[in-house]
This record gives sequence, structure tokens and C-alpha cells, in this order.
Amino acid sequence: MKCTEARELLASDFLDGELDKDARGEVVKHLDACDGCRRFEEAVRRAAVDPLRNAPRETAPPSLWLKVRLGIEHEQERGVRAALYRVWRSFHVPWTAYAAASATAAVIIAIAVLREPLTVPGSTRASLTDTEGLHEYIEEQFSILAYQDTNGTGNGANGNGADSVNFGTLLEEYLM
Amino acid sequence: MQPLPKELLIEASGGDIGAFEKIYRATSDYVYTIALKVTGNRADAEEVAQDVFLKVFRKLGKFRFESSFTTWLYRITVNNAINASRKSTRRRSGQVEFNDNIEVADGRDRTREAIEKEQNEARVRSMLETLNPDQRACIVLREIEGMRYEEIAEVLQVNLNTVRSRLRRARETLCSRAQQERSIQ
Repeated sequence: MKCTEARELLASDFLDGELDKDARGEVVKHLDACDGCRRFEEAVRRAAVDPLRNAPRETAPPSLWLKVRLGIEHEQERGVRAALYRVWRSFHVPWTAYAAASATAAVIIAIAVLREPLTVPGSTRASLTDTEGLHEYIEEQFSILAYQDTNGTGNGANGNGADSVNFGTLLEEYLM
Repeated sequence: MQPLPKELLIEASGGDIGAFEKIYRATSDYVYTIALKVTGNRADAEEVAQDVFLKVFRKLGKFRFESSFTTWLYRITVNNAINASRKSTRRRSGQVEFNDNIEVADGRDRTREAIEKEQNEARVRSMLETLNPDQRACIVLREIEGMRYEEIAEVLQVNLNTVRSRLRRARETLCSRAQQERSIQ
């Protein structure tokens, strides 16, 4: 075995016990015969192997577990929030659906209002489209006017007879 | 690192924090040691270890037990540590100087054993700093974790010859550094 080959093995497989019995025997034989390679092996052990193999194992700082645990809790919280968001998304209705529903409701209300007859404010009759009611209303108004004519109790009347009936404004007096 | 019971891993994978704490207690010193040796400073090592355990907790549910859990854990640790080491090379060198100053200043109050221990730690740290992160990870797995080449190859996901050559180059670098130091003295 040449020194180059021996030194390659000395810096790796030989030192690490990775050689089979025969290969190891050859390296040992070379070392017995070669002072240079023996010194090389000692130098490698002293400089690159022993200080590291004798180094004690480190102990993780006590605060490390607290940090890990906090990190896990934070991730779990985020996971819950993400799950809730997914549930919310699964029930989520897009704004276009809300808009369509609102438009439909507005149309329905408009149709209902337009179909409903207008009522006369303060009247006991149902509506102006109700012909019978309209006639009654007109008759009622005429009877009020007739009563005012006969009794002189019209708007602004002073109670001194038919000649002194005051119809209110000049325009009303002219028309009447 | 001893193999962990499969039941414990299954419980933890279901989100059982108590089971996960047991895994943490059994493995955290290994994870932290590798992180510290590869990154070279305690702040980065703590951050790496924290990230490793969060990643393990997150991914444990998807772990299929096709490979060993410890190999998987070593792989996550080494990869995170190598990445952190590459990212913070400048910051790390500043931190080491700062730590060294503290050690010198506080040296009077310590016992001889404690001082020797710290000196050895500083020596190992400065040795490892001369290596690139890949060589450092390889030599840490070999010398500190005592792994065989095949295990190292599995953790690092490289072939056996790559492991062999990284170890050889790392040792050659450490030898020449030691020779330089002797010649200066």
C-alpha cells in the first residue's frame, strides 16, 4: 500500500472503523512499516478527532420549551381561525346574490303598491275607484253646500242671512 | 439518540401536546447540540432548535414511519442549521467575539473546571468555524453523534463517497490549522 492511499484511509474509514478486516489489516501493516504515516495518523487524531469526540453534549436552555410551546399554541390558534374562516366561506353568499334578492323584493313591493287602489284621506269610503263610494262622497259634499246656502253657515259666514253669505276669498265669491 | 416509541409519535401527531413534550424532552439536547455546533452561537442555535420542533409538530401528522423518526429529526435539524449558518456568517463572527469578551471578563469568579470547560468549548467552536457548513454538519454527525457513514449519508441525503470525502477534507483542514497554530507558537 502506498502512503497516499494509506493517508486517505487514515483520515476517513480507518479512523471511523468503516474498513473491513482485510483492508484494516493492510493499513495496520503499512503503519508498522511507515513512520511518516504513523505520525500523520497521530496528528489527525490529536487535531481533528479527539477534541470533538470528547466535547460534552450541550443542554437545551430551559426557555426553549416555553418558546416552542408558545409557537405551537400560536399555530393552533391560527389553525382554528383558518378553520372558522373556511366554515364561514362555505356558507358565504356572494354580494351579487344579495343585490338580486334586493332588486326582486323592490319589484314585488312596487307591483303590490301599484295594484292597491288609492284611498281618500279621512274618508270612510274605501277608495276613489269604488263608484258607489264616490257617488256617496259627492252627494255628501253637495248636501253640505246646500245646508250652508240655506242656513248661511258657509266658510266665514256672519250669520246675517243668505245675502250676506261670505264664501271666503274673492275668487270663491266670484265663482260661486 | 434513542428511537422513540411509535405510540408516542402517533399520539403527538394527533396534536397531543403532552406527548409532544415527551418527544421534546427526549430529543432537545441532541437537536440543540447539533444546532450549536453547526451554527457556532447560542442565539442562532436556539432559534434553529425552536424552528425544528415547530416544523416537527406541524409535519408529524404527515410522517408515514417509512424511515426512522430520529433520522428525519436529524435531517430537519442539520438542514435548518446549515441554512442558518449560511445566512448569518457575518453576524455569527461578531457574536463569537462578544461571547469571548464576556468569558474573559467573568473568568475570575469561575472554578478551574468551568474555565477549562469553556476553553475547550471555545476551541471546538473555533475548530468548526474553519470548516464550511456541509463539512461541519458531516463531522458533527460523525464525531459528536457517533453516526456511521451510512447513517450520515441518509441524514444528509448524499452518497457514501460524499460523506467520506467531506470527512477527509474536514480533517485535513483541521490538521493544517493545528500545524499553523503550532508554527505560530
